[in-house]
Amino acid sequence: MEDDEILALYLARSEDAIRETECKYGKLCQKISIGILNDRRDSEECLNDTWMALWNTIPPKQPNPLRAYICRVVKNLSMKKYEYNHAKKRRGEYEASLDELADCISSSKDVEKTVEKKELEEAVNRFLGELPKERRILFLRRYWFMHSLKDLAKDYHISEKAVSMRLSRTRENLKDFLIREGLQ
Amino acid sequence: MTKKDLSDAIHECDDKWIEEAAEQAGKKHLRSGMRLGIRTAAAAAGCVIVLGLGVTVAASEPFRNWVMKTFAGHEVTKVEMEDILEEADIKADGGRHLSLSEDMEIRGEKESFVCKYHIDGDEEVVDKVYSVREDGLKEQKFSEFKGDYDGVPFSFEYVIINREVLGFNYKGAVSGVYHYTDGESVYADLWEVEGDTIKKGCIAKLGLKTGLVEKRTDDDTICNSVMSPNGKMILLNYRAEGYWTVFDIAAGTEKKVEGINGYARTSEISFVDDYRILAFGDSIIKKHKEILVTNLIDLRTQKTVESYNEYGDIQMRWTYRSGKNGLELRDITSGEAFTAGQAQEDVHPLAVRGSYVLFGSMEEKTPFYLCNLTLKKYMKIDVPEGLGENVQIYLVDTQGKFPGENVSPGNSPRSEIFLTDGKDCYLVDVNVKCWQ
Repeated sequence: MEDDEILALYLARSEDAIRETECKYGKLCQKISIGILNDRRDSEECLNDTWMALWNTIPPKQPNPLRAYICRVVKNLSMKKYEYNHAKKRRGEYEASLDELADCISSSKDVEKTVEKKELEEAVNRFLGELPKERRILFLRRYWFMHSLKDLAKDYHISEKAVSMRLSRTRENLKDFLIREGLQ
Repeated sequence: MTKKDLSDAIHECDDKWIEEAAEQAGKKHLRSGMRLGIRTAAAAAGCVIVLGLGVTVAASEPFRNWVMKTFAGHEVTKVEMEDILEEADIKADGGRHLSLSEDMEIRGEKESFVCKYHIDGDEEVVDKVYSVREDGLKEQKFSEFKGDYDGVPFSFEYVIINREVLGFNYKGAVSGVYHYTDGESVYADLWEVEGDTIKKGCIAKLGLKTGLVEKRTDDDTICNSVMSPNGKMILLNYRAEGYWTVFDIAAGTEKKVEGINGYARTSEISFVDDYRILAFGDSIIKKHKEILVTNLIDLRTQKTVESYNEYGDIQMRWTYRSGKNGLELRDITSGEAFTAGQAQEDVHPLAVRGSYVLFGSMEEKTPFYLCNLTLKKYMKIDVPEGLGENVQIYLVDTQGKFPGENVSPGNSPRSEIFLTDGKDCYLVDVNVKCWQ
């Protein structure tokens, strides 16, 4: 079913909306949630909360694109859950991806800066816009969707090391970009 | 700015980027959108396994002509059907291709095993394990090990091929076995878990014939670890405390290794041999700039033998730069470099095997460059339009030539290129001649 048809179901308050959403985006949402939480039961809980949140927010919202909105909802809910219980949990992809992003941050205290949130968001958006499409997708699949190196390697038919190497190059580019933009 | 700030900023990126990545993530296979199928393939004895791919039939004459022209001067062997043996449990097709189903995966340190599995609840259950042979896959019999860790029972099943062991179907107080075995015993990580918390853990020697469980470290060994290629040493990372140690298996001693950055990942450590590694050290700050340091470390003395103020993208040793002046590869340990002058595109390593690195791009239509790091030479592989959609290139390790040559014990595998257009297959010996 097309996204606008699913959206129409929400707007008509048809419960088929949730079923169709789950059918079309269930796996994608589960992957995002598991990447963050590293726990199947917690992620199932988050998925149910996601369907509920979509039901409660559409309408009045009429998100376009719908898929990106759904991804944001499931990620936000999973992050909340992660923050709630992460001390007890095993290391998930979120934590691993955070560690990798530390490469982009200067470790020198002399150059540590407080950066405006909005300014950083805009810079990251510009950086993403400058990346070639495939590199941007790989970067976001790792650092937005929290896909594991193993999954990425499988999808791209290259080794985990090759994925790691490509990401490391992009992180290096991001670091240079942030320095050039005066954010580091 | 913290890494969390950066992660949050990425999270707030434009919807169109999320949409774009989500669309690709939702696709089952990327290969249809890729110009060429490239990966290193499991080819322990010659049979090439193609993951999840159907075989495309294409006109082979142009392909043959292209192979012969491109690799003129090299030994090119056409892989023929008639020598294929008939004893495999899952047989390769005429092109020695095997398409693995979704529930099968290549596993093992040396890609020696193919596993068929299913998911039961949260657990993966391995149903069958195959070895890779010339004619296809041969099912292997499982063995089982049962023991206990301070009274807590554990068990797992395993298969051994040569000196490599693959453990699976773990139950109870065991998290995994290391890849090397002398045939008599294996090393394993044992742990005791309560809920999601690991209460204690150790490395233990498990006697495969005696059934004995011998703890080799204390119970505080809760860490990430990696074993050296021939099972002499195990590196252990106590990430929470920020340091690495080396466990010498023969001596039974565990010593701190200062030269490895406490937060380095196992992918940032490369074994030169069983006793020496190249690994990220602590970075240094010079003029407000962070410089990454690679250390060459002797694990027997735990001393850093050499330090380099840079890092290698390939095997932690080779760095590369590509662009209008060509592809430059430099050995950070010796400073020696060579340039693939013709490679004026933005290319990246796509596959690494032994001394060979295949460079290319998954984004742009560029030629491919096969570099030999030992000879410091390269070879350009330009796939013409029309062939590109069907041609697949693999870097493979073969033992003996196709088809079916006997391999004398001790022969080390050799890297070769395996090319196929889905119908015909050629193996190109790239070890000699014609390097630029």
